[in-house]
Amino acid sequence: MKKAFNVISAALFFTVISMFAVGTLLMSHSSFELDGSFSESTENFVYNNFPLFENWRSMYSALISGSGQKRIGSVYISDNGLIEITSSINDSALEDHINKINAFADKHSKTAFYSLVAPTASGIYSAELSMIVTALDQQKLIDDIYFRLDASIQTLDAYNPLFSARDDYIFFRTDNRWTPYGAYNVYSKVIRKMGFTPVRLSEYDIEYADRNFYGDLYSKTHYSGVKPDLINIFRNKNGSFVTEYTTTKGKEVSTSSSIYYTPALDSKNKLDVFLGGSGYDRYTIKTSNFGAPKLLIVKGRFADIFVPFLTPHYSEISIVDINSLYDGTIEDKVYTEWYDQILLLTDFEEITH
Amino acid sequence: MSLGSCVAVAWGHPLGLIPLLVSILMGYCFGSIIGKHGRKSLLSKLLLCVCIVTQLAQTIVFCTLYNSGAEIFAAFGCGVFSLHTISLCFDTYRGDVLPDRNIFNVIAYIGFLPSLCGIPVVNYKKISEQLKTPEIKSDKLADGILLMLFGIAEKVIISDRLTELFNEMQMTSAESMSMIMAWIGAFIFACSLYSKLKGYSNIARGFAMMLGFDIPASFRYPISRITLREYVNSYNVSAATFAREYIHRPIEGRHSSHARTLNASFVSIIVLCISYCPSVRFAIWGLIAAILVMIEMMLDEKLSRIPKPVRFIFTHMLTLSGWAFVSQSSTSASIEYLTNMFGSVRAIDYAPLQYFILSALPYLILMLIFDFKPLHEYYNKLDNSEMSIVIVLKPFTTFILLLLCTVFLMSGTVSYTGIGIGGV
Repeated sequence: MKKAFNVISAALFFTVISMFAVGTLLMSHSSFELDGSFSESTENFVYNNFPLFENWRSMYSALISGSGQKRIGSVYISDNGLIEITSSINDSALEDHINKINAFADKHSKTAFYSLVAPTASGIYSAELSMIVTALDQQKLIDDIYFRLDASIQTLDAYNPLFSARDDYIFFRTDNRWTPYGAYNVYSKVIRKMGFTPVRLSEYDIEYADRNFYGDLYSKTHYSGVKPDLINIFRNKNGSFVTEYTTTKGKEVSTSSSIYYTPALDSKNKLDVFLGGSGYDRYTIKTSNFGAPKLLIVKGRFADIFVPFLTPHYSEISIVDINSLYDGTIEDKVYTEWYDQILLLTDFEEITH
Repeated sequence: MSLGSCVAVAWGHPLGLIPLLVSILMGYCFGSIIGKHGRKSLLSKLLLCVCIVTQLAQTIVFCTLYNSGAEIFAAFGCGVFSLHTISLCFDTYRGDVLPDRNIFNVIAYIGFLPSLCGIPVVNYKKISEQLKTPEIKSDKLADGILLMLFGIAEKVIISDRLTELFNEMQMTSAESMSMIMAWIGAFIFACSLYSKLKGYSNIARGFAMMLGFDIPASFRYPISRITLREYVNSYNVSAATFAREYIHRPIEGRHSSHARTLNASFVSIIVLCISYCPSVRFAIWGLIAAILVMIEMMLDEKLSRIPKPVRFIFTHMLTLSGWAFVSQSSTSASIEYLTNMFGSVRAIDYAPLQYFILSALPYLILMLIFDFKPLHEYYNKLDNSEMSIVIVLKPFTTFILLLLCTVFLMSGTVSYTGIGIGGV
């Protein structure tokens, strides 16, 4: 009888292991690619195609949170949602980014140059994380970054507008980025420094584009105790100012009359509804404000949600990715002298890593 | 198994086969010659010395290159190859075993598959017979699987989570750590390292059982030990046994004196520390450990008058202080950490303290359950009986542990900031 239980134990173990192996091979959703060494590639392939991957993650989160802990990797479970904790900065990367921004500003000293470094949720809600004191003081560090920027660059404060509105829905519960309402709060304060009067909140109709959005922090943790996010689109009551929206990727150019790409709401990356997401070399928005200034935006990941608020103030807005500034290809993508203003919009996590 | 060892080493990095190949050739050729000429031959003595020096040098070179970031020199199992080669040559020299003519048995021993993560080191004379006729039985297979899963659980559930917490503590207050926080940090690190090594040891033992080998446990409840000597001897028993057999005994000789014993203990500890990870920090750690054990041996009579609870606390305070050289990434960081442990004037910060204690508690309790001697003895008693609840529940325990290990393996991510033990 004892032998029978031993045989069952061993058989059970080998059956489950075999099922995992067969499941990985048969249910794989990506093909094997040799990237680096063979062993690393194989390990990556198994990890990415392991059966029931999301369920394992979800069980892990349930076990960790069930044992009373509030941190899953770098993600903190707060009462209001998930917050990715920024606990360190890469000094050499930051130095390099600052130098490149300064060099670019120096080349365009005749153009009004603005810089906006947005704090992440970890910076705004650091008081909530008081039990873990690893969250950095982003207000102080952003001030330090601004201090190190060239004197010709005008800095825009995003920390205080967001901190004042911290009790509102300014950051997604399941994603790293700010919500359109968070972006509006910052826009309404910084646009004055750029020479315009902000559009009042009452002049927008808020459209609930999606009520079931799970962002990248959810994908990291699969923590089921968090409510899904809402994706709002702020529609100007006076109608859209956008007359033509063009995206360029290599030689591929596509044109549309709206900056919102609604098919993205049915895809995995729902936030691509704003500007169609990342991955384009250049984005150009033309508006009906003939004679108004032209703006060039060097965009980080927070910019997509922010840009729609700027359309009432400019005749043309061109957008290039911030990486093109860092890798020195920005002038290949856009004729920088053409613009009256340049806005560099990034966030704390992005500029410090 | 010899083929499995080669594949496993090459999987880490193909260049890892170089030290394996060198050790195999040296073990097979030197072992045969030493066995043929016997103990009294000058050639045997010479070859044994060459083997010891070459193998230790090989470990030091490969581990140093690996630790300095030259990833092509993978140190995967490198320390084990060297120690096994020395053991093979030494046991043959002493005449404890006859040299094995079958090269596959030599490959299987030197690159002993279950020990490739660095622990445990298996003495040749204890396993040479088993290598010739490994026996795979259903009870050993089932027990081996369970032991291996317990080992994985100790590594991925307890050790990895405690390491994450320790890393978090390091980032939290590396510059201004309070004294209490520094001690709790050292305790969490010691527990995470212990669970990691014990986990690896149990994985190796379980795997070996599945393949039909019996190898002894590497940890004999060091947490409950009262003296430093007991602690050292019960922490990584296989390494301590190796040191006793192949370093301590030859140095001490037949006519032991107090001075020779001290000297032998000193050299044993230093060699072991360096062979596991040659770096300045480990050398300092080994030196301090050796000096403390020597002092304890010299003052044995006086120290035995101290009440046991006091001695227990004192011993464990010393061991926790010693881990500062292992947990930190540089010697200066280790000294800074030690300064915090003994001289930080910063007030206690209750909020993070509470957070870390509460976060670590479930894992520390789990570790104590896994390491509770009476529970082990009761479990073994039930397991050895004809029929008991342990036997009936074995398939269920195996299944649950397999699921839990998969959950943590697929989701947990951890990296050590300080430790980098070669071959472990």
